[in-house]
Amino acid sequence: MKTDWKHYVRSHLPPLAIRAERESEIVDELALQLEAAYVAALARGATEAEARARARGEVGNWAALAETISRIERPVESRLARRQESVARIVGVVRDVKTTGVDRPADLQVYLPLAQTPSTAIALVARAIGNAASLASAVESAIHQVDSNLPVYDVRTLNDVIGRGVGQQRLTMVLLLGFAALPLLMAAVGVFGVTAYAVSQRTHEFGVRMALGATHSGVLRLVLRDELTACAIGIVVGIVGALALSSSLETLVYGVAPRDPSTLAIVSIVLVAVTGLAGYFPARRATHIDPVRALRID
Amino acid sequence: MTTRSLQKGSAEFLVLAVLDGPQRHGYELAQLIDERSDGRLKFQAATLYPLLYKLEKRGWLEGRWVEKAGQRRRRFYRLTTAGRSVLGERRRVWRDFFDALDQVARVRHA
Repeated sequence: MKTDWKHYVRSHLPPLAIRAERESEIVDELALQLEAAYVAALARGATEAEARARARGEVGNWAALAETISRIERPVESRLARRQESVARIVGVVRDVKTTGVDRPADLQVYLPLAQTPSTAIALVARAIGNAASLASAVESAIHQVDSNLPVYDVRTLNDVIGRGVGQQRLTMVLLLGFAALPLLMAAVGVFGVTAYAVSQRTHEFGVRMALGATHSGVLRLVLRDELTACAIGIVVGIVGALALSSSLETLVYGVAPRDPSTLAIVSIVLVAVTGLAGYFPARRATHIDPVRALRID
Repeated sequence: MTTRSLQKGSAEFLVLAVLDGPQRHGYELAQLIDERSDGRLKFQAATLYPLLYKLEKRGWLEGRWVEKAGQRRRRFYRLTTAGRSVLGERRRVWRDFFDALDQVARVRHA
């Protein structure tokens, strides 16, 4: 009796949970191997029964072989199956989803069919073309067509979800911004006051300078140069301080690196502008000094 | 300890070594190993096929299906460049190991 080795392998090899095409290739290969062993045994003078037994002995433990093949072919799947003590077929792989917060790294996630793992709270996500909010009523009526008793609540756009996710950080940032804007305003007022005072103290000096031929723009430059030099020193000290404290800021900011060069550059430019403006008006007043009057003050 | 238990640790090396040459199909590999070792090293289907798949996944072997009229399709294997360099490396390691073993235990002239 001639043995159909392919049939023999098919009937002995447990299901592999891999692509049918790949499974059929593996069956073909195993069948060839067994058949070749059978033919070789016959050629060595074995009886047909002995040759068949010899070929069947090629695979001792079919379950172990199937498990080995599954592990090689679908390593992730076989690990999943082991953890759940039931076979799970992977039907697709999705990209990472940040379920615990936008500022936290994505966890490992496995999605299971709802029918097999029922849950009382279900979130439905729908992709909309155009205005996402306008889709809400359509989705709600679609759900109620399936079951009119199902409560549909907490309908939000993904932007809302993300917004709520970063709400805590946003509040902290608004407070920080407020606390940062106040000192900036105070600094501007202070710079204005100090410059105005310095100009008033140097009225005599400016009068002499202008009597000796200094131009308006020359005096303006003189006042602003002193101003901006002090500002530059302040910025350097500030940046060094910010870099030193950046690690403690890391948990408070989202979407901005604590040592983000462009942030530091923008802050520096704002400070220069505020200082420039606060110094400009008193400086301009200095240029309008009448040299004769200025010299007469003393 | 038996030859069989030693064979386990060298299975990958043996398969790579018999593929150093023309491409061969699975059963030929088992036969070659059997012949060259005078029947002392035997590979059974249950060991050989998972091993071939694994080596192919690692990119050390390249397999392709060949279909001939009137014959069942067979998968032929050949070494890839990566496989060849692994083989070279393994040969060096085994040579060192044999030399050391010989010096200590006088394996060759025992």
